[in-house]
Amino acid sequence: MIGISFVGILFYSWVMGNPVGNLPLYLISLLLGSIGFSATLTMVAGIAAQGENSATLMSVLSFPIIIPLLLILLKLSKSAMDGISMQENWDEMATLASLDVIVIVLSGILFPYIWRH
Amino acid sequence: METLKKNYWKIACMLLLIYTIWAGFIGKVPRQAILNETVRNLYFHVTMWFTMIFLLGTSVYHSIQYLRKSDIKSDLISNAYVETGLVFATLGLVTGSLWAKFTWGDWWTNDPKLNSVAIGLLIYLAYGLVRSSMPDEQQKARISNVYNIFAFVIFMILIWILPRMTDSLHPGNGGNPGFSKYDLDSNMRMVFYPAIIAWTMLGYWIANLRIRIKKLEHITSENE
Repeated sequence: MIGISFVGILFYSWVMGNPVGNLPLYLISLLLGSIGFSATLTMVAGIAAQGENSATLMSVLSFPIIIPLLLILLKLSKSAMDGISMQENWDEMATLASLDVIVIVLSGILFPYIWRH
Repeated sequence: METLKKNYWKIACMLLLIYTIWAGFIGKVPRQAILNETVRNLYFHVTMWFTMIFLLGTSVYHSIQYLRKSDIKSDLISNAYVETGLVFATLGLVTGSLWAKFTWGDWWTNDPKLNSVAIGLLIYLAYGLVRSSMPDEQQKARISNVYNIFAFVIFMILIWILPRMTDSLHPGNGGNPGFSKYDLDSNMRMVFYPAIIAWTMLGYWIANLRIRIKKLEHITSENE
């Protein structure tokens, strides 16, 4: 996920030019966001894979679960685009980081229960 | 005598509810601009959400118990608490919508808090979907309890943390003070706190009935 997103941003800034005002902030939020996404989606995919109709279940489950992460990321990347300094966005970054930690810890604890047969 | 000992809290619940409704509709409330008489909704709208959080929290506790002991009863209990919690969430949404109509002028505003709650309800609707799409019973119980714990954490983040970070009309969010600051006078507190207790007790009562029904259904399905 991290790899894909970095390849993505490299490609886009090569093709269309880079409009990002505050690049470090953008990259940090990109990193944290990919970690969060991969943890959440792995968890949801694990749940969905147990069901009968896993593809549909996956999309229905992941949409609402991912929204909190998505909201913070939207805000962060918007302020990174506008070139707002790191200090101003400290709150969002802290929330994003703690959300990542919570999701990773939860998935770590709960995942064995999904795979136990 | 035995039944009285076991059921005294239900009587207390009834009395408190009667008190809540009576004091809620004709008790004294402070006059505030815009809010006017709608401040009475505090006893109903806010308490619904309190009850829902208590019920969902209990359900998470039983989910953890299930994962530790694999006792199908814990799964039934946790499921019943989620269902009852969702009933209270719906009621909270309806009373909140009413309140919004008479204070903000619309049934639904695109407020962060409101949208968060709507997404939260979607998360819990997906819980029902998870339950219905699992083939066998053990698996259904295990997966849905895992999902329940996960969903509760995300839901709490969604309704407590995120709305606080943006501008919001809802009291207690985005720089707005909560009601406790200056709207709640001691008269209202005398109704508000008993109201929380009363609705919570009612919630546990309803959940209790659901649990008993589910256990009976479970026994009959095993006997067949």
